[in-house]
Amino acid sequence: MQMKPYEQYSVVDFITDDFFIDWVLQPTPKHNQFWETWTKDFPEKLDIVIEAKKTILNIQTVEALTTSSHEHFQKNWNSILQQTIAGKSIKKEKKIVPIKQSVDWKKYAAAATLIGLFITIAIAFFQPISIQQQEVTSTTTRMEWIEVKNTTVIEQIIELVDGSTVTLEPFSTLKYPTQFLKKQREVVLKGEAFFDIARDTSKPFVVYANETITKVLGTSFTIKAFEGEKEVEVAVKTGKVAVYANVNSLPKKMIGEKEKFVIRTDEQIFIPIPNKKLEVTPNQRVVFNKVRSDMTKAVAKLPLPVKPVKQLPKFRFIEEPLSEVFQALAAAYELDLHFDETHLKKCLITTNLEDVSIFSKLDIICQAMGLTYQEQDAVIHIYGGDCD
Amino acid sequence: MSQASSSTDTILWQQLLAGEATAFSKLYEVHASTLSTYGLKLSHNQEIVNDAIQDVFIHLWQKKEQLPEVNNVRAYLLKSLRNRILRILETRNLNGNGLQPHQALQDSHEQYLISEEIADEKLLSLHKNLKSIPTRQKEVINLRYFQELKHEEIAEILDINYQSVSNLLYKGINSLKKQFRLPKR
Repeated sequence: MQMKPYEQYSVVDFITDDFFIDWVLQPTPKHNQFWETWTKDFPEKLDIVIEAKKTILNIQTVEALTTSSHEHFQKNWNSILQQTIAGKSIKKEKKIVPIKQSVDWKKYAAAATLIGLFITIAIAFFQPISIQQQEVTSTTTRMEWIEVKNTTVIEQIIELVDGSTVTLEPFSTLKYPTQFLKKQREVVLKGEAFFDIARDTSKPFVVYANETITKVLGTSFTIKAFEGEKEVEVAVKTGKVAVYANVNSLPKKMIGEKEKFVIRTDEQIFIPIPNKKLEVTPNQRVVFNKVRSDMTKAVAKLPLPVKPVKQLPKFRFIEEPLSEVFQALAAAYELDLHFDETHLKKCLITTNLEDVSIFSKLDIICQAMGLTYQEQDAVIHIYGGDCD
Repeated sequence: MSQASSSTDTILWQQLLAGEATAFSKLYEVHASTLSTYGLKLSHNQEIVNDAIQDVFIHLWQKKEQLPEVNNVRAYLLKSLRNRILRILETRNLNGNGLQPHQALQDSHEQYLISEEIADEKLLSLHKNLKSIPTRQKEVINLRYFQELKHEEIAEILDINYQSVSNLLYKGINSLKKQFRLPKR
């Protein structure tokens, strides 16, 4: 398709290349496919591609921020009307088509410093913050921010004022306030950390990490967001979290027309993108791919039983219907397991599945019953089998 | 600009030329925001920008039968706006010592300080670098990455040729080179 020698391109060359710019600002599946493939073929160029893409998006953000934008639609329009149409009578219409004030995201961007994407919290836990365009501004009390960088080779545990703990991995940085004075508890992460968050339904806990924003009420999860890497990952251990992509990782056109609410910290403004959110439950993880600018859900790398040991069902089965077994597994690991009930209705299994990981359990079952399984978007599908 | 919106524009434009008031009001609805944003970039004076936008549309209606066929309505409107703002700046003689219009633009760019509001280091340094490059290059960068216009459209708005646009763009981005961070693995 494109015959240009992109391998020889410098960052500046990429930034000024039309096909590249189009991909960053108005991506189509064709664009995505080309660049995904190309970065696989030339992995040493990935850094350059990502830097070029980021720069273009940052330019957009900076341009938006440096443009004050107070539209005076109605006022200007009235003035225009008076000097044009309103002077004459128009037979067909009684009045001119009323002007709708379209929500321009730039308006918010301009008033703000940074724009980020937001991941929402599970609906069960969380009261929707507000209706359209409501601004939650930072309090006037100056909070002090502390920045901790882990320069050792072992993890460092940081205790936050609300009792939450953050286990910071090497080469990672956490920025947090001495007090959580706002309507949310907010921290910024660069690198990797495990978060064990104290439950507070009145104050959601928010982690800003590169291209993602993770919001919870009181749960535990791991975030991996290193600058140089292609992906940002949020993996949930307990509870439910919602993950939004960060606004400044997407070209502005991809942002939905109506922002639900704006949240402002001392440093950043975050506008959630309603159609770019994923809800994640234990044993699931969200992976944000910086090259494609998209988020996908997947099963955790090593799913663990969610309930405490005493409440777990026994994993020994004697002549147990397969559907019961699968249901027990789904419940214990809080995983989504899909299988064909009617097909497997008559299948009985006798097996001991204790002391092995979930995937080994599945392997054992499937091998015994002639089934296969496949994971897609954090759902495990089970195929095959016929026990007549 | 997407295909769909540019063909809507073309239809509206045709209707405007035929004297339809609804098309006129729809054009305002569609483009007012972009014009306002671009105008404020050129002159941070809200009053001037409002006046200019009003002038553009009043002129559009009053001269509708004589308007040319245009390929890109947005570019046409942006160009009109730019010309108007330059004219207003010239008339008002804001800087008081008879500078050329494009120099007046440069001054109004620099008067606007928002540095205190950007807390992110990378964006702040990008903003500083962008501020320090020549006005023409700044404009091309804004029109290419923020307004997302094509080279031909930018050429039309700034009244220069296609090649000049490419050169200005390259020069502008090249001066930002010092801030690129390429992490070593």
